[in-house]
Amino acid sequence: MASEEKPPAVLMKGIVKQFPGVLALDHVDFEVKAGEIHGLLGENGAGKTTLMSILYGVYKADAGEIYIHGRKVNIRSPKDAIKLGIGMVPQHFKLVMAHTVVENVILGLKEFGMVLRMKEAEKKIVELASTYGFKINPKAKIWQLSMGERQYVELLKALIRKANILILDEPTTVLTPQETRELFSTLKRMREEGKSIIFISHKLEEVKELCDRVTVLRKGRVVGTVDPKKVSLADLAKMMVGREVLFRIKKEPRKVVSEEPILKVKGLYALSDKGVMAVKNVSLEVYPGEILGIAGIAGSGQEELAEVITGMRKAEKGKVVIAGVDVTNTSPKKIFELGVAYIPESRIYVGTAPNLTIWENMIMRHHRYPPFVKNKIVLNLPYIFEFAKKRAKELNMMYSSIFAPARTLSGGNLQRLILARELAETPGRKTRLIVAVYPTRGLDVGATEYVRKVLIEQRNRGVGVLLISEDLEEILMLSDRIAVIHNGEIMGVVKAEEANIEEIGLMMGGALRKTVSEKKAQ
Amino acid sequence: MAIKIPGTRYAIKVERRLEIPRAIPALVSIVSAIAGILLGGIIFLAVGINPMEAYARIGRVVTDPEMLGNAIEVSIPIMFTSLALILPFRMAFYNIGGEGQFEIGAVVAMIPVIWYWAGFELPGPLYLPLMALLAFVAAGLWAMVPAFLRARWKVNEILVTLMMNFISLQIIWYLVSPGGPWNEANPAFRERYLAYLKEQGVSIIPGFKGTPVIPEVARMPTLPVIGINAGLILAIIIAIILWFLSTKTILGYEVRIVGESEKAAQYAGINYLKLVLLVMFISGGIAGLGGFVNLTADLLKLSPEIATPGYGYTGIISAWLSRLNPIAALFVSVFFGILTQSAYVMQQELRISHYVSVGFEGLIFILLVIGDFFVHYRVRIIKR
Amino acid sequence: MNLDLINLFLIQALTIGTVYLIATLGEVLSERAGVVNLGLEGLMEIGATVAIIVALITENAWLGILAAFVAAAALATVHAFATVSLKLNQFASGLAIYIFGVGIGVTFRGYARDVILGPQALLKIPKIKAAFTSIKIPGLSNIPVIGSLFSLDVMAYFGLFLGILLWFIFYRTRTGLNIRSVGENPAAADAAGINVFRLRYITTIIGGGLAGVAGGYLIIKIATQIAGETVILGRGWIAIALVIFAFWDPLRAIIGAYFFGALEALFYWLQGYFGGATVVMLKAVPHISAIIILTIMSIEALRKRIGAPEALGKPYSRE
Repeated sequence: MASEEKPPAVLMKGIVKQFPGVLALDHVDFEVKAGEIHGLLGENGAGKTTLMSILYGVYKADAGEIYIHGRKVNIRSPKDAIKLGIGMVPQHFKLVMAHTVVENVILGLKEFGMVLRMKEAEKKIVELASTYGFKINPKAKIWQLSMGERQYVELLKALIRKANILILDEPTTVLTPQETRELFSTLKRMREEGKSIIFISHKLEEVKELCDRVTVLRKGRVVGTVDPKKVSLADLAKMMVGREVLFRIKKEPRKVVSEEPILKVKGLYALSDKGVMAVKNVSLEVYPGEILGIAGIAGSGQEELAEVITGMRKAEKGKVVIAGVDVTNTSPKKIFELGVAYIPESRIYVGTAPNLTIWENMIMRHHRYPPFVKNKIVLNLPYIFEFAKKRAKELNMMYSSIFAPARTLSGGNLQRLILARELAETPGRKTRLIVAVYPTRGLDVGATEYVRKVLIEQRNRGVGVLLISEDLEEILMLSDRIAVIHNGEIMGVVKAEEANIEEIGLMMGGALRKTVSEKKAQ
Repeated sequence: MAIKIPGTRYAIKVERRLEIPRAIPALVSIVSAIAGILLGGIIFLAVGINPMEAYARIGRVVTDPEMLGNAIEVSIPIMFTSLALILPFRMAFYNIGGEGQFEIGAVVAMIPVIWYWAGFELPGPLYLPLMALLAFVAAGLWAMVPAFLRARWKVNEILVTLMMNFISLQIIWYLVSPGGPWNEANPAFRERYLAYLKEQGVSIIPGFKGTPVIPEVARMPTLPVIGINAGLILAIIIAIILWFLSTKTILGYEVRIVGESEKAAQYAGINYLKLVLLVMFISGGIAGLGGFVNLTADLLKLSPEIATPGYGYTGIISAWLSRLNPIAALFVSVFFGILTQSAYVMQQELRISHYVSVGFEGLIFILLVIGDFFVHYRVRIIKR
Repeated sequence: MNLDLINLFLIQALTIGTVYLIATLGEVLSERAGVVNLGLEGLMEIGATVAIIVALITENAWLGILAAFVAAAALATVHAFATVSLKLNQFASGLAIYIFGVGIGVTFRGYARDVILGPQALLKIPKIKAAFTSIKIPGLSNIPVIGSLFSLDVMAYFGLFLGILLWFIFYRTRTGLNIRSVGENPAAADAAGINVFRLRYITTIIGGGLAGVAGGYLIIKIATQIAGETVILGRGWIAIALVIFAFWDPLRAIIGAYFFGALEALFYWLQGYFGGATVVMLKAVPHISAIIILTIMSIEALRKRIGAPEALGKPYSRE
């Protein structure tokens, strides 16, 4: 345990950071004691990452002071931060996928010479890893590694630079529960070695389990610093969001029941962009009026699965049947015409064309059908402009004009636009199936609630919904049934009422397989 | 991002524009063109020619009605080669093969003329429409090759279209070289061609690199009053059709989406292969018509000379400078026609290669590319 | 079979191959750091012009080559500025450099010939060519038929050395790791403290300079007069295709460059046998081959999912 006289590893006083239009940090005080794991808790946009970017020298604070081990410092760049012994494991890994572990770890280091002494570097990396109780193959290419292993590469990059203050930005988002547990034991071992760790998260249980102290940020201000062992989860949640959180959304029981599935996937195989089999022998069904959630670590093949179902990716083997029609390897156009709404993972460059105008984005996918087009060739522009204006108003979108480029819209408004467009019904086309991939990723609370509400509404209308999310809470809240995917395979399907988090976690990590017993929902 | 100006209380602030005011791209184009001409003066200074001497030639081309007429004649092929690129460039398909498509158009348009000299004559009014049709279709098909390779296997279209320019030129060389099947000295043409030449007052077939000349019946007519060839009308009609296609139709809409993001296009249900094949067929076809017009109005015989002015390459810059607006492309082409014509005057009077106009074009292009920075960013001087 | 003709063929192939090799290696260097330079053809033209003018004035081929490097590097700096600092479209900027380079290169060469150098300069051409006479490896160079493989000129040895050197730099040194990382993932390199912008400037400028050297070597080696037309004739574009053929590997670039040198020499060789119009079509063989090879490479790249540096053609900004 750290002695009381030791100066804090990190002390940030009165930090202010202003971005155009927002006060990101408002006189934040933050202290990390030497040898502790300190949680930094807050919602998206609370200022966690901004605060840490200032500590790591990516941004410069408008006001405030920083002390490292009791010494006042001026951190102008990540280089300065590294010199002070600060290391960062970013949320989105900064690794060269085509290079080996050792090449990534020694990138930018001078100690292995101009003509690189690779053997020496490999040895050092293996030693360093074993000090903290993990194993890594220094010659493996990054793209061959799991997300958990990649995280260790990032950790090694910080450790080899002799970091004794480590910042981990939402490290568990991409990990299975089991990988998370391993990471936690590694972090605890680092604490024993005297390192100070800042753990950024918005997951309450994790913070409670791992951290010695927690600082909670809300809208750029410190709400308080507490000992997580002494407060309840509900109290932490209240500090984080400022109101009682509803862990469950009100959901009526399924009304529309049908014997016939709207979507039937059988023995499906598909390749990823890298050419590896990403979807393996997947079979599942979605019935009208139900939400089937797919739980899994991001990158387990669920994105590819959604793309095959919507016609964006080729199926190598297997069948996709929508509303009784075999649509395997047909086209996105044909599948759209069958009444499939698709909320893609990337809102920009897939879901919308950001430099085109709002009206152009609003008619995408509908553009070749009446009433948007006359005699199959000419766009019905007066009708389209009227339609776009009406829609934008209905959605309460914040926009300057329908002739403004779509990239002027916020993420939430963009998602509203996509939803409205996908769910728009024309004389020849009724929505029957929604495929939603990470539909609330990166959205603020208001927009998230809106998206979830729409999905539930559509379900209640009798539309089938395939929901892919990395947020287990969201999956549990919305789904009627949950399928768990691991490494491209469905590990099992459970009813939401009977779902057990521990069990789902094990399946996500590939440690448990449940034979699919039930033939259909209810 | 702000950069301090040393020694002052001011700084240059650079911000990304959220919305691009409509006038900005046009303004950057105009400034690039003027700045290119002015900076080009340095080229002349470097070789010891007074830039004013050079500018005086440009001034003369603009003011002398006959020279201006010539300049507009020169600008007609450029109109075709720049109009051809508007749709493919809008869908971010970098067709650099306008030159080759232009040449293929001219080659295939020549077929009825070759028949003519070989003794197979068609009814007179058929010649021009048939030659135009052949030029459009052949050059369109030629242009579909890189489109197919790109759509099917992601083969870089810039390299393929460029390589094909060399191939088309070699085809011409093969056809018209002494001993080649279309060479004017080919015995198959001998009798008829000699008779024709005699009428013109020439008694032998020279046998240079080139085909026999095009007979009057297959030549492009000249417009009354302005005395410019009728290709101009064709160019204007194509510009209007392109304007309509790109602003009012599904085709134009889909081209815009593909230009933004191929993934979004796939999502929107657009069949990239079909669209790019169609667009490149149209594109190659328009360039091929340019070759047909150039052949029947100006060159009057097919020879490797067709490649000398590099109309296909000028078209790239002209299309870029016109911001892919077909109507603007007509006027920008006239600008480059004037530049090219001035270069020929300079070549005669200042002993500098007509390639100087290519240098000017490159300079304007570089400035235009750099000027794009000001389209996307706002640069202001602020007080610190 | 006429042994002299075979020897002639080999010499031709090696000369053109060396031109391709140096230009290709320059582009490999630039693209490995993430910058495509489509201006190669223009840079080679500028290099050719500057090399021949400077070499004739100073009567020193090496000063000509050096000047070609400097001139092409200067023009490549414009490309670096536009694409690295201003983050503009690399294709557009490269095309602009190409057109500018060809236009200015040819204009200046013609003007220098007619006005600056005068007709007596032509008499000096054999003298400056002497710098590139072949260095015979004793013994090996006397082997019949393939003897010319062992009597290369200095620039050919330089090209081979450069290929091996670049390979060594890329895969064995810290600088090489930095270059490759910048081309694959500039954000990762930046986070590791590498100056992405500086490195991209350096590789683009040196790579462009090498294109100038290739153009300079070409004109001095083959010149019988000072051409008032373009002398590069699409070889810069072939060199860009060769980078893809080589999968961005300097050693594979050596093979590709000599292969294309041989394809081109084939024309001159067969011309001796056939003559006439048909053989003219053979001039298009390198271009047709380039299209076929590009297609095969693209299919391979799609199938094996290997290929270009990840960040190739993408500007890097810190935001």
